[in-house]
Amino acid sequence: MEPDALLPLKPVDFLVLLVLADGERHGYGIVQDIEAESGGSVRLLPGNLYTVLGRLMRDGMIRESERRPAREMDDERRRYYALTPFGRRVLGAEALRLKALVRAAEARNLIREPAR
Amino acid sequence: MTLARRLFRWTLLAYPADFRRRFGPEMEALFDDLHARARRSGGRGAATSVTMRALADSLASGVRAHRQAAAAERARRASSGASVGASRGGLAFGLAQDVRFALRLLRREPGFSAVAVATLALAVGAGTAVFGVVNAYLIRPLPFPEPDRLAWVIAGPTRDSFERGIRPPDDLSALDLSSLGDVFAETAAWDLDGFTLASTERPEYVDGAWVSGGFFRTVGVRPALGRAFTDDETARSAPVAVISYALWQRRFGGDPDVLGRAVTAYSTDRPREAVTFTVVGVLPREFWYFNRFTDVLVPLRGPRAVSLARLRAGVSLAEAERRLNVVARRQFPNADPAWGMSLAGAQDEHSYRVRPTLVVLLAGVGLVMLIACANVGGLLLARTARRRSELSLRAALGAGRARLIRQLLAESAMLAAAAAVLGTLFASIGLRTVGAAVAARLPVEVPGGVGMLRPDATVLAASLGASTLMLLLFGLAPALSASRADPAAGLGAGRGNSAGPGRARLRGAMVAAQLAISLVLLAGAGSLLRLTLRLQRIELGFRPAGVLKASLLLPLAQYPDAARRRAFYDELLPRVAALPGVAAASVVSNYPFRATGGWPVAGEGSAVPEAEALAAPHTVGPGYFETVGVRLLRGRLFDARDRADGAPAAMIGAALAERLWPGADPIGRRVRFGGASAAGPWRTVVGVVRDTRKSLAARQLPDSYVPYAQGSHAYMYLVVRTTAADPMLVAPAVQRAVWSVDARQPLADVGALERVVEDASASHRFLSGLLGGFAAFAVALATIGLYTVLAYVVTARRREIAVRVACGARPHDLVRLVLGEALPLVAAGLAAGAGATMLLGRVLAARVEGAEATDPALLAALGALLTAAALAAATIPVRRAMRLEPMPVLRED
Repeated sequence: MEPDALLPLKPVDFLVLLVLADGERHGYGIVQDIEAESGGSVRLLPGNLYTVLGRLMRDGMIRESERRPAREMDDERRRYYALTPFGRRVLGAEALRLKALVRAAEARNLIREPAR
Repeated sequence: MTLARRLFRWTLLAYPADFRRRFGPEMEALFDDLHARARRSGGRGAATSVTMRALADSLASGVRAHRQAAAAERARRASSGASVGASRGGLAFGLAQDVRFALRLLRREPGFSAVAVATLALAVGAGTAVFGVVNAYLIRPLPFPEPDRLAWVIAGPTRDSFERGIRPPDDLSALDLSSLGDVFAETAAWDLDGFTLASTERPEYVDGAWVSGGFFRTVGVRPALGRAFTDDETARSAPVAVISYALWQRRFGGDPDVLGRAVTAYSTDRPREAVTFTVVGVLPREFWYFNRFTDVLVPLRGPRAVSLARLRAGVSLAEAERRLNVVARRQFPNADPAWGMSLAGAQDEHSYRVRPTLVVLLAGVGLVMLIACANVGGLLLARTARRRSELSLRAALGAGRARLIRQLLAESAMLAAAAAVLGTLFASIGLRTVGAAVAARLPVEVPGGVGMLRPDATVLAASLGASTLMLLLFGLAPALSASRADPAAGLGAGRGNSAGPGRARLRGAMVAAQLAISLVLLAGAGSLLRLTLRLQRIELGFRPAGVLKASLLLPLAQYPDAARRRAFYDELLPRVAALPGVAAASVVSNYPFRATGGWPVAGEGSAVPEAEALAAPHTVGPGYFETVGVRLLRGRLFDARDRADGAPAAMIGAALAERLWPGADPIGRRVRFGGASAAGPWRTVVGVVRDTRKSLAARQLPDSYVPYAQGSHAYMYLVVRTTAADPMLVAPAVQRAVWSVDARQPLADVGALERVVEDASASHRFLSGLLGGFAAFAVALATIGLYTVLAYVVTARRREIAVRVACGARPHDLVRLVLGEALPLVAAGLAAGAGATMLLGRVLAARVEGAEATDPALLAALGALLTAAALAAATIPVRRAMRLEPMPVLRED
């Protein structure tokens, strides 16, 4: 399947792929990174996160990592997720699509940084 | 396992089984992490909030996961070309399958599911929110250590003994409880007071109290910073103070070096005392002291009767009260024989005045929940009737009765679960908004402050319990009735007439019950509304709109005599009156609509004994009557003639004139306020004004007035008539005017006079509004319930109707046919409702002051209203019956 077939991505899917691009994460790590990335505006809850993860796995964009932390270090219920090469391509394609849109907006002088 | 965690685990049942197996443990782990984080950063409130959101999110995601799985399945089949078949064959066994099947069915009828869940969720939400308020006032223990050992000491045999004329001994403060060491662990006495805190730039008025040494140990509070008073400091009434957290933050910027700082304060009740206190402690932030918020605590001076006691562990209230009375009787042998002392549990004493209101609210919301059950039960019955052939098929394939009941109950349980989650979410929002609004209109504060209005484990448990109970109420009857499915019935036989007589009766009963409950709620709301309207029509005797009031204390240490105080006001009042937006300004010792004690009035030549002619005392400045809008009836107002060295003058209200000299002209007669033997002079009555109200109660004290020039007080209220839309807008300018005369004097208790009047009836108004909302919801549900029954009747009897139409029945006959079904239900519902209303009306009258037992005329009017709503509900089915084309129907079989 070509990455373009899956575009546009839902904003949540994009954020999940984005934080996984930094490396493997478990569920709580993904939630925390997305909160940081979005300035606290996106706060995922378990039901939502795992339906998203389930879908991304089904579409081959992420996979479960073999990594298992030492039992005494971590909650053994946790599993780690990693971006697949295909997922990375989809993420890149989506970013490119967004970039084009942002450029178009910039060309019309629509983007104003909030005053500080 | 915690409640939150268990609830979350239940929501996992909403997911497809393989999704649950794959992600369930991880989701629980993530939930634990989020819960723990919320708890760390925001305490229990934040943890509850994240739990609620996670539960709702999880249920919604469960539905989404099912959809995703179904879509994936379709995609797989489409690509592989596999035939549709039973992949995971066999008949459904096990609860999970019931649940899955139920969810699938409910998804297939989104309209039905949404209506049922919304109805139940609103009812659960309203019920939980009201219960949350009840919990905060009546159930959750007060925020003190071992609060059940705290008891108020009441200086009378009952709470109303003072009104009944039973007076405690004058020297009750000498009561010595030292021999009761085995009963009371600690006791506390205090004298509430207000203080003006002196300051060069920002003088401030704060509430405070002179407290005995046992106060801190009795209440069980330790200062968060510094220390409480030492026994030595208490014994010699040392000038030390413990201040509130709020005052520490506000006035000292939370500076830890506040300890040892000196604060000069002027007492309101002991105006001669200007004391410089040294701050030795700061109370904890969360410290809550009943509804007497206290900013400054200082050691009590002189003896004072005990107000609060901490019982020894294991001593009962009754036993302590008995022992207390033995000691009191022995120490005051000459006291009134009817007199005695009593103890009241701290929570009971704090909340007894709101208990009736809360019970009425809880009963009202209970009725709403019942009606929601009846409504959804009716919907389910109609639905099982539609599903008769499916159920028969399953019975024919060997599903036992228990199996069918379980299946149907699983569907109801899914509805109830969704409603419980959604309703609890509504409730936690409702508790912070509506609940806080309710609490703000109740006469006593929420124990621990309004922040305590939040769902805790008790509230969540009650919400779950109520949902389960509702599930049994609305789910069981349809399940039982449907499980009687006849294996033969649904398959071939009978598409025409369907529901058996038993089921039809059940649905009829549910509709009648809804109408009955609606009538009860309408009548309750109606009689409270009448009470509210009556209270609003009460003649006040003054015009509160646009008037600002604020208290002003001139400390005796700064203003030692009347002449200096008068000079202050003579300078202040013209400045205030000259402010933009101000029409008039004056001062008074007691603004209108403020309850006060009365003083006896001796009237020259009056036949009435002075003890029976009590009047409310008012000392008024120039222009007072014009400022608050009290009309002169005879004689003249106070004026420049009534100087300090002029002839002593008085004005009286019309009721006092009529009481002292019935039918005679009071002008020129003389009165003595305080009684014939009082220190004050005999005063000549120069004018009679309209009576003013002090409260909404039926009995009112008459008024008596003394000119300010002839009787000054240190503690006065400034009253300002403004032309502004909101008198509070003028308040800052008034404060600046005061400071321009004397920068040391703060205004306190600033407010709009109209608000004071409104607040007096606010709880009645709000209660009637809430019950009205409940009633409207109930009527809407009952009307919908009746409509569904009638619509169903028309569908079920369409063959009969078609035959009649084919035989030339007129529209009139069809109307009679439908109404023949509707009217008996309406009549039965109204009769049952009227009976219940008569019964409950008496309960309401006994619980809410001023409410009357149900008026038959009101009941008849509301009955007519409900009948009209029922007829409206019947019109659509009637028209459908009239439009029925007979031939297609008759050809159906």
